[in-house]
Amino acid sequence: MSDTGYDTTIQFRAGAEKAAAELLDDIHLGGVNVSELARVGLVEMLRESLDDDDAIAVYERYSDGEIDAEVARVLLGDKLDRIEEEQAAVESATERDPETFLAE
Amino acid sequence: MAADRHPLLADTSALIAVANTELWELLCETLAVTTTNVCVAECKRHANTDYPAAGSRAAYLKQGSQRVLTQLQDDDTSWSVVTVVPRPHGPDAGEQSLRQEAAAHPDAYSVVSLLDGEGRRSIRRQLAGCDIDVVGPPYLLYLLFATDHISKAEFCRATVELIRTEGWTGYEAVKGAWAGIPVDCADLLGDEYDDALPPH
Repeated sequence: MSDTGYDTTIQFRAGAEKAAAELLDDIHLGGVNVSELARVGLVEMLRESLDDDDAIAVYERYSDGEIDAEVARVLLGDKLDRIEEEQAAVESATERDPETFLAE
Repeated sequence: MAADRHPLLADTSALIAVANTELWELLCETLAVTTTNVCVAECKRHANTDYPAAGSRAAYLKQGSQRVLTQLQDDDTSWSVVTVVPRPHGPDAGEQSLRQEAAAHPDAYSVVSLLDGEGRRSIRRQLAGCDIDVVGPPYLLYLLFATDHISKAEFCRATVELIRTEGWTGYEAVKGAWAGIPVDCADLLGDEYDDALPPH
């Protein structure tokens, strides 16, 4: 299972980007939360980088219990909710007595 | 045509989707389905399209709608059409009519079938708290299998046919179509059906 806590960090090399973030933090009223911006931006770009085959692989790994829901949700977002909602609805419908839908 | 409310309520697009499968006639004889006057009007509009190009979406809608109308006009059918008041208008009128009908008579229905995924989500929100499941049209084919009217192979083939003719491509649409259906078609259908089977 992955570590989904927020005590882990991602580090990357930055030059002008770091200076730009510091500058905006300095001049923007109330400053900016660079960590939060980075988190949101990363999620956005990860989802943008995810193609259909990647989404399949992520969902299948999640279904098999190999990755946490939280991690799957970062990559799949609403897709995960939509698939699970469909699944729950159809499962509930298939639990009904099918004979009740037959013509007399 | 009977005016009863059957526990299965379906919209225009869900009916057209199953009407274009090879199981349609059996489905007509076997299931009891209710739809709305607004959905019937939508079918009539599709059926009246003049000379749609062969193989086009309009031709597909026309053929499916004609089949649905024939079934609803059959004197011996147990299928029913309910009148929804006030009558909704606009491009989503059929879907809206199901929403109104199910909300007004929640005890009459146990399953509502709509083709459009966003439409299903929206009706689910509205019917939260009601004992009604909102599902896609493959469920209608599943009922034939669950009542021993068709084999697993027939169910699998017809569901793949529906997915392909609806043009459902991409992971979410295909996965969504199969989600929750307790039938594994992967063993039965070969590699040429890979595009319409859930990945595994």
